[in-house]
Amino acid sequence: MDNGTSNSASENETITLKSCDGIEFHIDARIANRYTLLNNWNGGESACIPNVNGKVLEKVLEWCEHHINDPQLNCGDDDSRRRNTIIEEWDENFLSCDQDMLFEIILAANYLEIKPLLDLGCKTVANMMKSKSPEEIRSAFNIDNDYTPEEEEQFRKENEWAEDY
Amino acid sequence: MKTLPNECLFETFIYLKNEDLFSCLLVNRKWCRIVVPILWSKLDSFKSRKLIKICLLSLNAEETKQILPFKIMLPNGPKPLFEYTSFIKTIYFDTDSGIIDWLDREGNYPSYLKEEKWPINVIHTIASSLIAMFLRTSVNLRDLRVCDINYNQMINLAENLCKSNALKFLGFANNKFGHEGGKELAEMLYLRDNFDYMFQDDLGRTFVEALCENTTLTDLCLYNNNLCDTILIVIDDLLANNRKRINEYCQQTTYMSQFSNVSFTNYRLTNPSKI
Repeated sequence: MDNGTSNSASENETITLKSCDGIEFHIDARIANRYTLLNNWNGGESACIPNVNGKVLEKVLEWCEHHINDPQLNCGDDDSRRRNTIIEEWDENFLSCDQDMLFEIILAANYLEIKPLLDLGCKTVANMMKSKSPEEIRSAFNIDNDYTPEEEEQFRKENEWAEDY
Repeated sequence: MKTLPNECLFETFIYLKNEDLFSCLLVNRKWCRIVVPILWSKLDSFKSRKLIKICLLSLNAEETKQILPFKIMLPNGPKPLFEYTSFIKTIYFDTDSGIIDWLDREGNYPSYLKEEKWPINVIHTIASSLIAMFLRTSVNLRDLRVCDINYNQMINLAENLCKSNALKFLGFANNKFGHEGGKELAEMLYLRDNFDYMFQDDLGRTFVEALCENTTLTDLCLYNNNLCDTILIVIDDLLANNRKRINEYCQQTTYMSQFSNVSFTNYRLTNPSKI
């Protein structure tokens, strides 16, 4: 298991990243070593990370820095359903922002392929969906119902066994 | 307001339990298309009569034919909005209680027949038809485990096994198909040599001998067995010959193994690890 000790970058080395709105961040090179995609934008005077603005990138990098010594896990269980929705206290506080920011962080983590942060964000959203009725979920996430009443009723009948579990 | 793309929604839904997935699929059409394959990927309990009812809607004429003599009223709702069974990857047919509940409340099972010994028969026949249907329609089915099946059900399953191409794991817990059923299973294994894993209760000698013919099996789980000397000798030989291929697990075996290649442990964890 590699926890960053074999990374070639030393502790004092930094790299420079620029958000799409031109804000520069100087970060520990070990972070970029962990998440390969970050490396792609390293040091570019002109290069900046498209789609991720400074506010979001700051949050993403804050998370990466806090978790810099986490073991890197190879999870090959993409197929299986994950039931574990336990979230550490620091992460929970970190993601207790408004919903727009939470979604932006998830989008950025997805875009930058920072899998553990993506998982954490999705877990947080999943926890927000738990024990809610469809109508409560719609209003929590501001979603319109595009079912016809007949269609909704048929989907209900065909899947209501799921409640018997 | 920001929305999440489908791939992120998928990553989110996989954390939810079935009852929450049910709420999510009723949110809107887009969510439904993402949730249904997740919800239906694993059917690990058959105690819900509502599940039985939906599954019965997918029987074809041949599978229905077996049930007709019992004169029960099969559900005739509208065609399901999805081909739900095509999403199934894992089935644990753990109990007949959903079928019994469905028969009681919706199957219009003639009450005069309930007095006789027919009920057991009708329950087993419905279970067999459902398994045949799953083997035909669940194109992604990799793992099928059935419990308590008898000889006739075993034959039915064996006959329908050729319809499934993806199946890699087949399990029989608490089976009641006896030595004759074991023989059928053995022949079927001889024809189908693409299983990775087999999990088997109370096996007979013929079954074990058939394993020697199987060249792709990599794991063998012998759970709750009443192994006798002669069978252990066969297993021992088999493992000696196939050492690289088969990891074996004897659990709660009533017979203490004296043979070098059979690893015997009481109450070992069911999760196998590679040698």
